[in-house]
Amino acid sequence: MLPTSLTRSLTLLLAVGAPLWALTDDPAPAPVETPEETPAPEEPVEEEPVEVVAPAEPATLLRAERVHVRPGEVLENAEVLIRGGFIVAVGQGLEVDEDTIIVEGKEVCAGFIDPWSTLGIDSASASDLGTEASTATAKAASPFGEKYARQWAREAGVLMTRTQVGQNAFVGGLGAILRPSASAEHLVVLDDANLNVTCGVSRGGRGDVFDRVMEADRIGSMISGGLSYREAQVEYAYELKEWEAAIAEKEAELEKDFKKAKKDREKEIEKAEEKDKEFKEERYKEDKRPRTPRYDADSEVFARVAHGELPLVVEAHGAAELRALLAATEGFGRLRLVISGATGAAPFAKQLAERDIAVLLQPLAPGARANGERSGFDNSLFGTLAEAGVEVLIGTGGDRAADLPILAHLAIAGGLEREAAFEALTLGAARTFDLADRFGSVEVGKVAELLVLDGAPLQGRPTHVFTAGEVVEL
Amino acid sequence: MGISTLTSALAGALLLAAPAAAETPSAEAFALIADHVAVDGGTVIENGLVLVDGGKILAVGPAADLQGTLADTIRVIEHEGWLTAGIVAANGTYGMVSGADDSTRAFLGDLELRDGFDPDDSSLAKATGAGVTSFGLTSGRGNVAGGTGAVVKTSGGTMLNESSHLALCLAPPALRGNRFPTSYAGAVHAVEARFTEGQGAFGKVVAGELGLEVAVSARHEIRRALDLLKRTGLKATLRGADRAGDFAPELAEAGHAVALSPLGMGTSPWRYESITALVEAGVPFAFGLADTGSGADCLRFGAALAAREGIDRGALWNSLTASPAAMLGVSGRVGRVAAGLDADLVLWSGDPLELTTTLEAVYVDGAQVEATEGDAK
Repeated sequence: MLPTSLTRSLTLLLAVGAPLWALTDDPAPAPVETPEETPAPEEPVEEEPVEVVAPAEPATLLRAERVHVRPGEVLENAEVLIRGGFIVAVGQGLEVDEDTIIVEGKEVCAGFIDPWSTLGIDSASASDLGTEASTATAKAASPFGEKYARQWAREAGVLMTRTQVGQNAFVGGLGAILRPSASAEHLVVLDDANLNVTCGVSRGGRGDVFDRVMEADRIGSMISGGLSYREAQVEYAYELKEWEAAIAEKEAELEKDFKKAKKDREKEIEKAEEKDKEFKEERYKEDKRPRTPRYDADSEVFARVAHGELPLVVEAHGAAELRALLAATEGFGRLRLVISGATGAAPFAKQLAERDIAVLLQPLAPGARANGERSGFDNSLFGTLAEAGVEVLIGTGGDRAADLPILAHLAIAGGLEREAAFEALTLGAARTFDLADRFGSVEVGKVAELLVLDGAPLQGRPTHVFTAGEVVEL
Repeated sequence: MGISTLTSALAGALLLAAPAAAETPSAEAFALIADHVAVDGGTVIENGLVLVDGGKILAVGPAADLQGTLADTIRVIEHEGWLTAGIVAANGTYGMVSGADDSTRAFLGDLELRDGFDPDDSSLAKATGAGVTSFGLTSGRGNVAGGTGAVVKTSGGTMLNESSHLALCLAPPALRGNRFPTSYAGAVHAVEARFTEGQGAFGKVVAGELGLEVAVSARHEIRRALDLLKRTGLKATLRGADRAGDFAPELAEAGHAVALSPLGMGTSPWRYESITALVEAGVPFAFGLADTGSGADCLRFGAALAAREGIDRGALWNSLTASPAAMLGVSGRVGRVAAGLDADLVLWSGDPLELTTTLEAVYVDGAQVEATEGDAK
């Protein structure tokens, strides 16, 4: 039971016809429930009666032998209470209403996130080579295509993807976090998850090593460009403020001496007419308004990247590109760099760890061939990087998000700890793409994007998923 | 994997008295002790011991029973993980250096495929590195009768059977516009006529001296092959019949086997359903490599994916080992960890049907092969 005031606001919100979390995409304060503050169900409500237009949606209680609160933290025989799409309580012996939907299962954990995907957009958008920094994946997102791929993703527990247009383009644009299994209304979770660029990947053919390395320098210049763009804007804002103050001061001054000024002006006009000359209005130096810097959507994105407001995902593979990329990005202290692909990253493990650069890898399935820039990729890279302390993420790199748990197993076979693989699919991915305030763990206040599994996470299969505000039995 | 030499307190006289070690091991004999020894899909010995001598398995059993019978001179290799038989691929074209097809003639039944086989081909070492120690050497799909196949080891070039089966194909790649037969009807007619005539390889199949492999794909091709086999009264292994699950009871009744193409990432659910139907009907099935461009490590990976889908693990492990060995007529040599069989063994970090498991060592004819799973790529 919620405190009465919250109940009321929630009831009203629900009466409007939308779940609470759907009204805002901000990390809105979720209704938080603490057992000790919970009034007994039979306690009379003392506040004035609320006009209930429609009954509040019933809460959902997930009850499991093990609840994986976050990587490394497990509650035995625990429950998760969900109301209005939010997790409102996690613990044991939670009190529930009569109409609460109860779902029982073996294990509960956060839904998986595929941080490298093309699911949810058409293949032409995914392979577009003409994208720009401000090209937004969210605008290409569709809840209609790839019906089975989306259904299988949900059945495999992959509830969100970081989908990217212009995968191979030099500048791919803004990635989006999508819910593959949701309707149009709940499809886009975040429309600016990251900026994607590539360094030395094949686009029809692979350039020589100089071309590839030069792309690293170009990436560095674009980030610099973002910094200057932001600087010019800040400078302009400052100058504008100064100008506005000066104008105001001058206006006050003129107001004060208005009569005299008017008389002086009339005299001047008269004098000019006598001499048959044109009257010239007095010019004030304050008339010169600071020039507005040119707005450029792409520079705007790079400015956000340079200031760490958006993570920058760079796909790079060869040692030469990686070395050049690390050198070209070294001076940007606020840059949040994620390197994807990273085939030849092993020698840079220490440096990547020191600079807190996350690495997003696509495990190689047995039987599959690693071609082009990926040739030579070995799943043991997972172990090498993780051992050096690099944050490693796991992605499918395509539209088969359902493969993610299988790929996680291959990452484990490659030396990644099981818990680290689980983290990569949940909280790790959420943290990297600014979702951790809402997703990635089973904690009070977070949006309920959860799995009920018949075995341990990664090992077991989902029997139910809670996504986009509702529980679905599989 | 820890390697250590254990000393036995028992005298050699006791070894002779032990029932499991009927023969006296030679000086080259060694014992492998693993946490789990998978004899086959149905039997796993916990803390099992495998005694290897002269390239053969001399004895298999719980280490507790056998270890005491060993002479203290016998080298013991301890392994934390699983020990299994080497994987047997139901079919493959590895080592066929001059190609597995002949584009000019549709019928090459009497051609011996072993004549085109190069035991030093690099693809074979890669297969060994994936734990695949034997396979049915077969033809491509480009001929209606592609030749007589063999059963070979991936390491050392040993032929387990020099003439094992006649390879037929009743699917489009064998039916070409520039030679006869050009159609299904023509191919079935020509094949049936040859069985009736009973000459050469076709005659050996009819006489039961040679096995029969029929490559098909689509459901109607399976149907056509089953009808042909029924009319001729022959049993066959249907190669690439991934839709065979739809015919499972009929296959079981007729005594046919199925060599499926491997499973991989993004495998459609119907393939798992088809395998489930084969398991339920008791149809022997295995996986082959002849119709895939994937590396040999896809065999175990595919079976592990199927295990993840809930398909019976015992049946799946047999599909990688004992079943293909039986289908190829070499179950007296390979496919299980049993006394008397070749010591083709693989050591794994864990259950080989788990995706997280890695290959740690391969033995062929009792000799460790320098290979790791990474070589398979």
